[in-house]
Amino acid sequence: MTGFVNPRTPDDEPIVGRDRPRLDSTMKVTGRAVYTVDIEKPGMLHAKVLRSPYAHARILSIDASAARSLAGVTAVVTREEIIGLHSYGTYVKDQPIVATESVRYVGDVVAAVAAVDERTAFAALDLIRVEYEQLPAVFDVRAAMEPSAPAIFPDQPFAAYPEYGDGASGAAHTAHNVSYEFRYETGEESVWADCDYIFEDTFTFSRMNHMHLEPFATVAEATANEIEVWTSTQSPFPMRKELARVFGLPENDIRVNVPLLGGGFGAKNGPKTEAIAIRLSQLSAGRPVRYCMSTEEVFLTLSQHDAILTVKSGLKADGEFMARQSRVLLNGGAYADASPLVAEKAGYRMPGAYRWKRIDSVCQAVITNSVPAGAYRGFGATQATWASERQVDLIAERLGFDPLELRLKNTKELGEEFVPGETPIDSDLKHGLILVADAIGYRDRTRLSNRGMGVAIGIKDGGGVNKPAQARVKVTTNGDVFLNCALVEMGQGGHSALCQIVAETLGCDPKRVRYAAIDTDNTPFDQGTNASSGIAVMGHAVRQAAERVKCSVLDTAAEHLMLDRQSIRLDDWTIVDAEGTTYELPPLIMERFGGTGFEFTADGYYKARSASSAPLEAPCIFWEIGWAAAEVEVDPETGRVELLQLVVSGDAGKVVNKLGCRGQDEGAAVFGLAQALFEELRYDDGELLNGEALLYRVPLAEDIPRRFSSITQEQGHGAGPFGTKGMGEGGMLPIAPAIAQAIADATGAQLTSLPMTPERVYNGIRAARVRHGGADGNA
Amino acid sequence: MRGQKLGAGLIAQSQSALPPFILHRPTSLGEAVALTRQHPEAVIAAGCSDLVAQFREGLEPEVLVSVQRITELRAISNNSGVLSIGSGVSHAEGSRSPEIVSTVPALAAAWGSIATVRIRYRGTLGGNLLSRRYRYEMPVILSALGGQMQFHGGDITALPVSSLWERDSLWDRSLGNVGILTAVTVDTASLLWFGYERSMRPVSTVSLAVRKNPVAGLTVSAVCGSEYRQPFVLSHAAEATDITELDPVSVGQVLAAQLPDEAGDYAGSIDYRRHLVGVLCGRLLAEATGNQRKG
Amino acid sequence: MSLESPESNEETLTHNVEFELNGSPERHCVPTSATVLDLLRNSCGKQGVRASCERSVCGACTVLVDDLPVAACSTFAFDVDGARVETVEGLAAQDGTLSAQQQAFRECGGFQCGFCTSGMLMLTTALLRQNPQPEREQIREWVSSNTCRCTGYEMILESVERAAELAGAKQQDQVSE
Ligand SMILES: Cc1cc2nc3c(=O)[nH]c(=O)nc-3n(C[C@H](O)[C@H](O)[C@H](O)COP(=O)(O)OP(=O)(O)OC[C@H]3O[C@@H](n4cnc5c(N)ncnc54)[C@H](O)[C@@H]3O)c2cc1C
Ligand code: FES
Ligand code: FES
Repeated sequence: MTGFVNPRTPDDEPIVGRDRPRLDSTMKVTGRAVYTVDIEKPGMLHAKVLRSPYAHARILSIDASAARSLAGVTAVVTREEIIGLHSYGTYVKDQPIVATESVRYVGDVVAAVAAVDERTAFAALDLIRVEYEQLPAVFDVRAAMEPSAPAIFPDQPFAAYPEYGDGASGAAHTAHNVSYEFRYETGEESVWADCDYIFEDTFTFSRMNHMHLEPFATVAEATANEIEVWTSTQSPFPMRKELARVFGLPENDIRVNVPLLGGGFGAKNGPKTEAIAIRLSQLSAGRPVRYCMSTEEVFLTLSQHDAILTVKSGLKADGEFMARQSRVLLNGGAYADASPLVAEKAGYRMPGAYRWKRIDSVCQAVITNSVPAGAYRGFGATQATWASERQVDLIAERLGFDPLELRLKNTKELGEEFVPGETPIDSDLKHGLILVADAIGYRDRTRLSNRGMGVAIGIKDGGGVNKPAQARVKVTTNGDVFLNCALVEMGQGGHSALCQIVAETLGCDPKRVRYAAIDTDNTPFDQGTNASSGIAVMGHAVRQAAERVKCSVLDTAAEHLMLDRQSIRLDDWTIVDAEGTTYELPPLIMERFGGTGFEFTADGYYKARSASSAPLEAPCIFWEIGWAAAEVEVDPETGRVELLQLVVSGDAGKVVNKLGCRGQDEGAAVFGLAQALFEELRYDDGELLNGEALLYRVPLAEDIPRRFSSITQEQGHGAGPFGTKGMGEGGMLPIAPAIAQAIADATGAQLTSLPMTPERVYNGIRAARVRHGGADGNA
Repeated sequence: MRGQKLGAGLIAQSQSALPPFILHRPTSLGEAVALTRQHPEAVIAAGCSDLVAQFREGLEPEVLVSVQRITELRAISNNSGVLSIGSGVSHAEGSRSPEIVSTVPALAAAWGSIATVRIRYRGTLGGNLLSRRYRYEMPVILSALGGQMQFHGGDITALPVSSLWERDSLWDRSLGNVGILTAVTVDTASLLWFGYERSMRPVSTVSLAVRKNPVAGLTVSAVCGSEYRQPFVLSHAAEATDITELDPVSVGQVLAAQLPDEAGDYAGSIDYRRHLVGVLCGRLLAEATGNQRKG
Repeated sequence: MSLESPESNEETLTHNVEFELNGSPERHCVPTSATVLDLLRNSCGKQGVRASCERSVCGACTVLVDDLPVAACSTFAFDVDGARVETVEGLAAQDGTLSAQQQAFRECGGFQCGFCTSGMLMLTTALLRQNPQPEREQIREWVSSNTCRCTGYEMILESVERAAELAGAKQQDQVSE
């Protein structure tokens, strides 16, 4: 652990607007914010779809003639209307616009209709005849991998995946019904021989829906040669690229507009409503078509990955971690979507926050006849952290260590590398652990019966892999500022934070900076709003653009005023010279550029260096860390868990907006809390039992512990501008493991499955009593 | 979601695309009854908080009779040992009603604990019962109390609340035209104690009433509710003359043992559910034995 | 039967709804099956009323009907005949000055994506009308009527507390003036 460079320290001054409300606050509290669902176009048509009633079936015939001839119907899309168009998917291009030869899950889209109003569209759907031949279906990942299981894709769809660096590899279709497999390996296999103990445990992870309040929605205006969409997507440019591929058009014939998003949490990547709306518009003579899903349809569109994770860890008698092997099966559902990427991350993030001499991870994304799974807040790290952290606690119990001590002993140091070739750890992990532990009084508590505490840490590589970002800043003659970049505002406060970075750089009030509407014709390129990359990656591009604008303003002013360039500075759109004399810029600009004035414009660009020694193409931008501590009280008779305290903490590196950072950690923590205790998509032999808002239980205010708080750390080592790091996902990672350990601490019940329902807790308590040899179970 | 009309798949129907219906908004029960006789297929609407879900599941009314303006349905009375609660009483009104609070306070408390503040203003007793959804609680609460549903204008006049989920009954709507549910009545004269336990919802809820038998002994009736299964009525006749003589733990177990195997579901296996219901009944009885007031 | 409902017309299947919206009278002829959500968003242009679950659960569409919080998606337009309806658009003063609730949600970060915010604000309005100084527990109970997927609720609870404080201060000012 010598020779590492301790990363940057933060600038001392707080960023302008740090303690103020976010810049989008007024429009959101007045109801004036505009989302995709609010977009209306003259002559707009409405789309509705028919979905498969079967989990797996061959489509023998479709007769949509009656639907087509219904008055008010302008277009019907079935497999006939998509001949020649391509399928989509992140790496594996397996999802057609509507089902072609077969349907692969209950809810798969079979046909779509556009009509003058929704009622007519529904009436038309009711006229479509479809003959199916049911096929055997498979829902369980292990069963799906059996050779005897039905092949969900008899012909392997086209797949393209990245070149990995040292130790990592990936491939599509490596086993029966496996869409993608990721492997990572480092260190010598022989390390196992030096271990005094080896433990192997299997964990299961549940599946949630994203439940963003704004559903998937698109308005499309499209002809055979030109496409324009207004759509609720986190990734405008990848969307444009995918649509270009699907429809076989050049990218400059496609324009993607993105209004505000009413939540995303990962769901709004990749086509959802877009391709259907576009195709219907093309067939309706270019009239605008709106396709807005209902919540019930959102449930049938995308979910998180449930998983089975087997982890084997070896350690020395004194508790030193040595070697870890993991085998992870992710349930990817019927179409690959982002499964390959999630598999990559779930496998890669398996070491957790700890030092190992040998790591060997395999993660497979399995195809089943259920709702496709894709990107979801935490992105593979939630699954990995559940298994990784849970096993640390199991081991601590077996060997008689205090779980916190065992963690502190093995946690990586600040600046230590995660794995060879990867970015060094950029937070003091132990500091955070102690911080949250002390916040709930972990270390000096008096033990009360049926009460327990747990502490956990989650870590994920943040900022996206190999991610370029661009931004443009424009300032009008009067000093009104536009920021032009493609970071999508979905609640995270990214627009406000980036505007503040511009304001900080230009020395102006953040209120003067306007985040320009996003459209792919005019907005500079970006790879997508994901991986908590907004500040740490896009922030650099934005800051550079603002710096460049400032430079050209100062250059111009120095020349015009005949002042020494080095002695002047920009403050609130005035030039201040060394003596403190101020010069208003507007008259100066008018004088210099003539009666129409001028706009100073500059572009910024940022991309982290790539390196073949980095396992995933490029070292990550930063490490996103989540620390949590929980206290529970368990009713041993019923297994009911009451969460008494929950403390979550993240490291912002440096805070750009206080409320924004806090909200990210708390929001993420509540996702984790729900996953820990109750929220899940319930499948009973393949049938989704709760795909509906009332039946699908999401957390409400009453589910939040009365003592719930977050601590935003500013450790200052971030690689983003001003020392910032990304936020938004880390807070979710450690919650379920911390609660699980608190339950174990309270009752002895060691749970390995999520959610930790009363029945599981109750059975766990009984098992613990047996394990501990009888009577003293919850003593 | 609803099924497509030709069986070719699922459609995400929404109420805003519902075809318009013939709307009636009677202001008296008499008018309403006449309307339902005239239009036996009419859909009755109260707070509509469940009806919208039914529209999304495919219900398409041609005639809709809104009972919101019928003040008679909002009446609550307590006469000679019979508590009568109008079907149009909202959860908020019911849980604050002086008549209910003074006769069966635990019923008022239980009623005031269901759903959410917003729904409590809107949802009605009648709607909660006749939505025929397993997870709704008024059927569980009122059947332990031996509640009787009073109908008007249909083929029947009165039915016990527990008949809601009896086979060939209201649950599967095979009873024909039930007309309008006007009220639920509860006999309070013989009621010794009532309590409702929903802390384990939706895994299991339990409502429990203890009554004095006409001749001798006590009857303990418990009803177990859950998310995916119909409520189950459990009962125990004890020779005791006084609640305090009941042994909460053993009576709880006797009641829970009556749960049939079908009571197990995704949210709780039958073994766990029997155990849990036993614990919850035991706790309610422990409260009852220490507290012999009604409710 | 026709005498009691002259406002609905059996042949046309439409209904005339007269109500007060944010203090001004409105009259619209809508299909009998129109919901309050349709009425407000489509006929009255109140786009601040959001729709999500359309099933009475999330409360994103919460508006006030005669001071009570109601899910616009699950209430028929005919049910607000003669009622006073309030939406988020009615909260701020004519000159744009934000109401206490709006200020509080801004200040305390009681929103992220903003999709639940209109509903949360209306819920807060109803609560503060019933009880200008609610305790934390009552706020929790009320806020539990609606869903927010972004904030984790703590900052919404704080916003409601702050709204009560701000509204109280305003009242004080008015009294002392
Ligand atoms: C978000 C949410 C949470 C909820 N949580 C709970 C909960 O925790 N516990 C619980 O118990 N319930 C819960 N409910 C249900 C709620 O309490 C209501 O009772 C229920 O939604 C129906 O009431 P309503 O008056 O709106 O009925 P409506 O929707 O108007 O009607 C429902 C059904 O009853 C019929 N009906 C209504 N009145 C009569 C009558 N007088 N005669 C004949 N038929 C009639 C209607 O035709 C319809 O079929 C919840 C509902 C929602 C939306
Ligand atoms: S949209 Fe009305 S309650 Fe969800
Ligand atoms: S702010 Fe997004 S749902 Fe509440």
